[in-house]
Amino acid sequence: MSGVLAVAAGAVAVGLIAETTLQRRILLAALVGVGSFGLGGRLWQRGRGVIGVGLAACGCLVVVAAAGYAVTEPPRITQRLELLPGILGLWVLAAALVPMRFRWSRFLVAVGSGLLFVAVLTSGVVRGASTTALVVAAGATILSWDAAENAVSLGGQIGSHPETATVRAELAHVLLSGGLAVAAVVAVLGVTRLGVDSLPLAALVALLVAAVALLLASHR
Amino acid sequence: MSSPVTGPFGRFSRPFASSHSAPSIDAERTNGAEDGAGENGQVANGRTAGGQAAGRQISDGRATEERTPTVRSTGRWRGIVAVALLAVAVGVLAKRPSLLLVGAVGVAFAAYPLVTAAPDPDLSVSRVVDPESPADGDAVDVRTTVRNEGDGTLFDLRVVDGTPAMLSVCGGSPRCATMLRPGEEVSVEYRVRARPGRHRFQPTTLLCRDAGGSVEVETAVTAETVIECSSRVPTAPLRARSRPRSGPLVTDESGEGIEFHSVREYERGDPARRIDWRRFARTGELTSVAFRTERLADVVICVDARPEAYRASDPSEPHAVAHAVDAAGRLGDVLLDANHRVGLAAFGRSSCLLAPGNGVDHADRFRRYLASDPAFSLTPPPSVRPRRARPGDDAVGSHRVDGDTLDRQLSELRAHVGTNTQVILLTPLCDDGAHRIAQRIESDGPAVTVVSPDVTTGRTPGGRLARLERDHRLTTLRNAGIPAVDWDPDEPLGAALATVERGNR
Repeated sequence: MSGVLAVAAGAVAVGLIAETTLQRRILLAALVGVGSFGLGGRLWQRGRGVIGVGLAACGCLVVVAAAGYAVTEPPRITQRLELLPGILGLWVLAAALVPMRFRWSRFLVAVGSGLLFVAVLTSGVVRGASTTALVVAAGATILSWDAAENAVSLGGQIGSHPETATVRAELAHVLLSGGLAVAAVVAVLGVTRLGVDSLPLAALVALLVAAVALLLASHR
Repeated sequence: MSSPVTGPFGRFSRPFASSHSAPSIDAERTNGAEDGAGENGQVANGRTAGGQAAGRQISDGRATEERTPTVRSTGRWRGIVAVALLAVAVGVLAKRPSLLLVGAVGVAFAAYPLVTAAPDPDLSVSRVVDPESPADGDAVDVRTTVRNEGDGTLFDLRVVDGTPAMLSVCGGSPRCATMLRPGEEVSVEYRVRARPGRHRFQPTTLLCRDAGGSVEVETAVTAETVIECSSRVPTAPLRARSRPRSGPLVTDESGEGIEFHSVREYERGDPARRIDWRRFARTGELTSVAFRTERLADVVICVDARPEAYRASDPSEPHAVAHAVDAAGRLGDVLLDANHRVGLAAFGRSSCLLAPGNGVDHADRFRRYLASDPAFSLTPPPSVRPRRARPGDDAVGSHRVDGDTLDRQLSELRAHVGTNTQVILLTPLCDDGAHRIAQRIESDGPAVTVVSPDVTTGRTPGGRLARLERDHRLTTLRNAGIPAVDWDPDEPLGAALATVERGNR
């Protein structure tokens, strides 16, 4: 379940930075592809080889097509830049959570959510999305990584036998992280309302670096 | 969704394997029907005892080693600071305040592990099995309940019940993950397929993570439960070598006994009851009947538990060491019942040696060694277990047994075993080392009989090659005059032993 939530949170993140209708349509197509890829992978694992592989292959084709559109179709180059890493990130995340090879899962989770974050950063750099959308997308990206990582750790320790009950633990974990994400986003946006934009950039940077230094010093 | 643990040892690749300094604790066992377990239900309880000093304690006649919980940091939020810094750096370079705010969200998550408290689990485990004494092949319902006895909520509790190594799960799952508020409990229900033997449940592994998942506490609780499935083997394969005391071992020497050995001419001094009166009536010739001497044997049952022996024909099947330990228990029972003097030994990561003896106390000691000595551990060594990717995972050291260690273990065995003693060596013959051990013991003096559970499979080319090599090793042993029992674990052990008994005569 965490896997599905991870991909969903990732999709929310990419959806927030996709501003135009065309981008959203491409993203929707990519999501369909990622979904059928994930479903096919699961079926393949459960021993339904032919259907699973077929479904996964179709999903891959759709994702590749969507990625192709994302690169060629949007009118502005900046829009092309911000969508591609997002789509690829979702795809890699799904591959990590199927999982194709268990040993690679953690690496793929890192790569997938890294790509999602790159998409968010790119969007910020090219001014693709509003500040609110960016901050929420960043929160969703971190949530997506958290849920995916939790799924991999559960898979390693408990296994993914269909009769194993894990829903309650996964829900509790996601809700707690989600609560934190909402609180963080609200706090950050609240600070924005105070008119931080008008502060000198250097002051903001100094504040953040100070916060990070404090964290690093006390990190366990 | 989560993902499976797969690998050559499947079920045996214990999930929380990276450090085994956790487990177990106070255990008590009560028999009777509770929780509506039915007439045959067996209830066992165990509980964590946080912060107790390490030591050994005996409960229910068995030693359970007490270990303190392992607390480790998963370091899963460690990278988030780098992510926050990256966002800040990009924001500075591109002069975008919005990216600095993205960095601020990252900082909030980096602070997450600092505000969550490390869990301090106080958990009790109880288990009900029904039926307690099943027949071979019966499904046994197991219900293990974990209860949060502490004051704090456990946000992420992962439970893996310690199913007996020889029994395969045939329904449900012995694992679960859940959140437990104080006083709440969670049950895992599953079924195992009974096999002959006495099967003890291993400690239930419990793993608690804090809300953010940054600290995990691994502990294990023993709820002493046994599934007993009738398992007697009719006889143990002994060679005709023995101590000069009367006992149940039938030898090739003539003398006192029950079984006919030979007829010879009457000699002065032969007891009258030995005279073959029928022959005297028929031919007028006085002859004495001699019987096979029946003696006591000194037997050491020896288990090959080297890392090479932890092989299984299929990930869902028990490995060869599990079969060997099971067979050792059953052979020990039948030999001890027949009043032979029985000892126990193991080669492998650690050695174990119990000198031959008999009597009730010795039988208890024999069973306790077999059940709890680390030399008979059913957990495969880390070097043969599929390595799991995991941040903060310690480098897994190699646990191979080198030649020197094995030589030392063999010398120890030699020092404690007289030439009149027999050795029953239980080994899967997976490598050349195994039959060399047999030949070495035999050349030192003790008579060796090899009982070899067959864990090879003909399904893959590699498996077929392994099977050929094993057949070759069996032939080599037999050519060297060492009886070798080829035991297919799907077949009853008694039947396999009977074939070599016939061959011995």
